[in-house]
Amino acid sequence: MAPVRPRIPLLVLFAFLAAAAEAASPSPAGIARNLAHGFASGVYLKALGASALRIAAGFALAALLGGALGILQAAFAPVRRLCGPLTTGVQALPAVCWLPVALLWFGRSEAAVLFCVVVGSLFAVALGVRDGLAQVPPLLRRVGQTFGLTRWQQITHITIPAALPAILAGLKQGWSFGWRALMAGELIYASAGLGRSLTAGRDAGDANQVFAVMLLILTLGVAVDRLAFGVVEKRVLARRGLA
Amino acid sequence: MPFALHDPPVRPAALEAPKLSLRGASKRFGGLVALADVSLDVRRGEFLSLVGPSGCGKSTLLHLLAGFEKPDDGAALMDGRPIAGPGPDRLVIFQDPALLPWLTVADNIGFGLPKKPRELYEETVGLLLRLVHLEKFAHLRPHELSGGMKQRVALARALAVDPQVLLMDEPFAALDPQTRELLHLELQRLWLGLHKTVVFVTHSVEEAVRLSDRIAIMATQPGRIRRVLDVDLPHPRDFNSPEVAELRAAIREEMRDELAKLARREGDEGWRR
Ligand SMILES: Nc1ncnc2c1ncn2[C@@H]1O[C@H](COP(=O)(O)OP(=O)(O)OP(=O)(O)O)[C@@H](O)[C@H]1O
Ligand SMILES: [Mg+2]
Repeated sequence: MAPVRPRIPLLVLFAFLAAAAEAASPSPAGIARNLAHGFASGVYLKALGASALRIAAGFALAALLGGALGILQAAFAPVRRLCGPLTTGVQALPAVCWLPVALLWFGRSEAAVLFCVVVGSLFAVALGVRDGLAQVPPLLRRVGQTFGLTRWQQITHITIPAALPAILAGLKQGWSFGWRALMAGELIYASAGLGRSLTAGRDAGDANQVFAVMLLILTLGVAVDRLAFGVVEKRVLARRGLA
Repeated sequence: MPFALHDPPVRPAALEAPKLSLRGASKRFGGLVALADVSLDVRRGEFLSLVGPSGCGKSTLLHLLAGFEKPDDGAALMDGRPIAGPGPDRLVIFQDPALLPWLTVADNIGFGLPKKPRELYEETVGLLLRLVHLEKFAHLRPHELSGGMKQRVALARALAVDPQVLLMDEPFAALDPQTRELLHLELQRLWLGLHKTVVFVTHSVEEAVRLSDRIAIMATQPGRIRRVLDVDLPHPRDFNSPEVAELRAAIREEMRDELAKLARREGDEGWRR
């Protein structure tokens, strides 16, 4: 995926938000006031912290499970035949579709939200890991063989480094799916969090707050995507002459 | 001193037991007979080229010696023992340099070396960098190199593990003529100084005549060895000498009917140079 320069879309979004906000009675000034007040009182920091904690836990779990699922599929043909199409299919499912399942199994609880995040991002990670490991160029495997690498050395010295770009791409996409799933989940249940602040804004009829929180969600999402994943990915790809 | 070039030990090469041999080796892929009853001895320290039309089984033969494939019938031997699988005593160099894109030139060269002790590793890599004239490019990544430089890295990476045998599958086929000529000189120099046994697959009769002690001419359908020629010209060779040109013409003649057969079958030129 070609990296999108964040500045222009952000500007457009600001303009859009400003326009939309005007129409629904809130104003840019109102949003700014709301943000200032929310941060000063510590409400938004708390919400950010709560959401960050959930996404961190959920994503870590998804990376572990998705990584394992991807490795199993890459290593064992029967597992690949069995789970392969399912992984690809489910990965395309919008995370909101898991909300009813989450509510059914876990009720309105923290576990339900976590479940959404995990299933939301798990399959994208699995797909990246699986395809990355499976698509190592056969010639590079042969290089490992002619140098007499053991199976384990073959994995650590050839397979994993060769698969790294695809694995990173999978993790990045998994993160972004997980983040969306978290927001959807927090709308249904959360003691605190950005999604919760969003519903609070709606319940209070405070359009300024709704837009202010949307801005926070967007900012955090873009920041992690750019700063964490973007930087690592760029370094890895630049090294190989791929970016 | 590792990787120092020196004169070869004097010995009657033809009397010695072969380094590598195929004994009645056959290889089939489904219904296709890629190699039929091939017997070939590669002498210790010699430079042997395999030439033949496309699809005649040159790579397949090399893969039997490399241990990537096993013969369906017959045997592939090294030092008289069956070849069980690929290994660093028989380093394979491919047409694609197949460098690891995530490693620097230096670390690609050091790929097969023990990384500890660090000083020894760095010293050895330094020697090899000098051997292939790439010391200035040690810290570049493969994508920053030209095709010829990449193939020199692949050569140094192979030499690093001090293999007894180099198995080269059209290593210079993708290079432009000037670069190829340069690498011919380089390879000749290294081979003369390091005394490896080399099996060298090529499409180019010119290349084979320049570098080889012997040339095995292969025939196609089914793949087999048609004739083995001695190249009785002293090393190092002047590539543009009349003797080289003469021999080249003779071998092309030799292969003419094989080519005609191929042309009839495939309806294409099949054979270049
Ligand atoms: N893994 C394989 N599976 C099926 N057929 C194969 C395989 N490898 C080689 N062959 C077939 O065996 C025959 C010999 O192939 P090989 O690659 O050894 O030819 P070659 O002489 O190296 O040709 P070229 O000069 O084009 O590289 C060809 O007809 C090829 O299609
Ligand atoms: Mg070939």
